[in-house]
Amino acid sequence: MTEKPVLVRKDSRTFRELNTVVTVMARDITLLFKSPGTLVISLAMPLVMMGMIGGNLMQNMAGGLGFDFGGFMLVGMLVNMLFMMVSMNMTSLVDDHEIDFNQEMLVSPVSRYSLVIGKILGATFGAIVSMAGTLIVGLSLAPAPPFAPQGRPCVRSRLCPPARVRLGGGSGTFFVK
Amino acid sequence: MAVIEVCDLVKQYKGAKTPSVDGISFTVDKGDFFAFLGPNGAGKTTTISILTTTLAKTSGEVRIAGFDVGRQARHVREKIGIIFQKPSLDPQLTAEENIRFHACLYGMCGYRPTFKLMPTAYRNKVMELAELVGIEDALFKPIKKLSGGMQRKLEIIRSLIHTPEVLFLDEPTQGLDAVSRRSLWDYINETRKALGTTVFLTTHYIDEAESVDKVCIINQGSIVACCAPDELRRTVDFDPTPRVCLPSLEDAYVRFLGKAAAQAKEGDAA
Repeated sequence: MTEKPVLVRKDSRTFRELNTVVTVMARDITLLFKSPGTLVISLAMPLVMMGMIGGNLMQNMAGGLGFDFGGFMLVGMLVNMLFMMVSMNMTSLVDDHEIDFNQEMLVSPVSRYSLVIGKILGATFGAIVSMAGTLIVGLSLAPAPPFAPQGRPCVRSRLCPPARVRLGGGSGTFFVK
Repeated sequence: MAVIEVCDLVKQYKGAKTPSVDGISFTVDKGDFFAFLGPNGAGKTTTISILTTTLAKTSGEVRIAGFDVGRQARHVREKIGIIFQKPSLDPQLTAEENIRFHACLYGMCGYRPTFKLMPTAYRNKVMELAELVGIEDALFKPIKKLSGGMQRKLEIIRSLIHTPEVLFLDEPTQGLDAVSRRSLWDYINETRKALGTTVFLTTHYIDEAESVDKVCIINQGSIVACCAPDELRRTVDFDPTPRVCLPSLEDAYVRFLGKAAAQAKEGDAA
């Protein structure tokens, strides 16, 4: 006769902290996929910004100055999308407070740092999804490869601002907590 | 053996002229059903917040299951389960996802993205508890689609999944209808007897505290009485005139609703 498996608490502290990080992160990812509106917006926004506003800007400015603004628009959009996603995730912390869900997290026997790190990683995933949308739209609309070397900012200088926004947002999460 | 020990507990908020909790002391024995009663602003929620490690005390000593709430907060949190005054469920997740989140945070199992991938022990326990409370059909529905009573039952399942030694109930039936209230209490009593869990209850409905082992009444931050309910009743002047004991309006209300539900069930079956 096989014995019925019993649910027992795991004693390893490392396992529990890592498990907390994964669980909190997974919740944010689940919520992202449960709100298709957010995904649609993150894909539609770059299309609107790059295709409509950026297109007009490029036509008007590029004609007069002989300079392609596509690459700059893409970086601007990346930064903008990341900033928006970080803001949305900061708002999600406030939402957790309003629905009293943070109480549930704060009374659990885990480190506060694990909760915050899980939250940051969950937010980062959302930001990456939105950045991927922007990149796809931006690269498909750009007349020339946006990271081409001639007379344009190098790749590092283009990618540094989004990284800084991400870092800033993450740090902000600590203060909101 | 005392599982909750409170000795000279004081809590004074910053800027307040008087302490919200003013030197209270009491003990709760293992397996007891303890009621902490008092009017609004008496200090009930402040006390329960200190006991559950969500609020720091000003002075005094509080031990839960032998651990100090100030110095060993993590150990205390492992030993307790809490049902807050307001539901603390994520309305966008399903009932099972809320339970899974809690179980993983309490280290009962590793996180898996779906219920089917979770360990068998977890799945069995969740199904067993859901059947006991009668929410097995609603387990995979989003929280926002569940009634207030069902949400409360779900919170009970969630708070018991890690089999706590002490269960704190902070006005658990607030906003619930009479039928949900009764079924909730039936379940709490059953699990208390089955698992030997100590229950610490705060409520405004005094009738809910009729069957407790010990009552503590707090007023303006101080304890005015702390004894068994029978002992407390004996302090009241007793009128020996025999009276006809009529059923309460709540009894009639619950009976009619039960009758209607039974008729509907019969109709469905026919």
